[in-house]
Amino acid sequence: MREDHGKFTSKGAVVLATGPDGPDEFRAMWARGKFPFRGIPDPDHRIAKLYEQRWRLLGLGRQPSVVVIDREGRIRSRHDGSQMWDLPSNGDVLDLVAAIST
Amino acid sequence: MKLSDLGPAPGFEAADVEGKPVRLADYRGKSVVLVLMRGFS
Repeated sequence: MREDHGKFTSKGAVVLATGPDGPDEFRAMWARGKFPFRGIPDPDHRIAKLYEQRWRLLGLGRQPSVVVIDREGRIRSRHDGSQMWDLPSNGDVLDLVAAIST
Repeated sequence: MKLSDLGPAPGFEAADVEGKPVRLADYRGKSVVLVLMRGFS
């Protein structure tokens, strides 16, 4: 997502990334990774619960998801993965963004 | 990923990594890609 962020913004899309780590961990990760999109610490799991993010077996953390929301605030697609690597490609997400932006 | 209509996205308000307030509603009129990560460790 970091490498293709400009492609998302050129299509008028905003990328937001949230996770269970706290503000200090997020700041450190964002400083190291130089992520160009907004990171949102969610250590109390409020956003995760709102979006019914799945938990891994045995309580070993959350399973990652990508949610695509259109300009009217409706969820137009969602993918739930088991690891970050099995999330859809940036190209697939960009195709969806393009489809809902026309 | 398939295109469909899964209903309204739940609104949220939080602080971002810089401590600035972020509300999903602020992005009405834009497409949003929300990535729900598993955690850094």
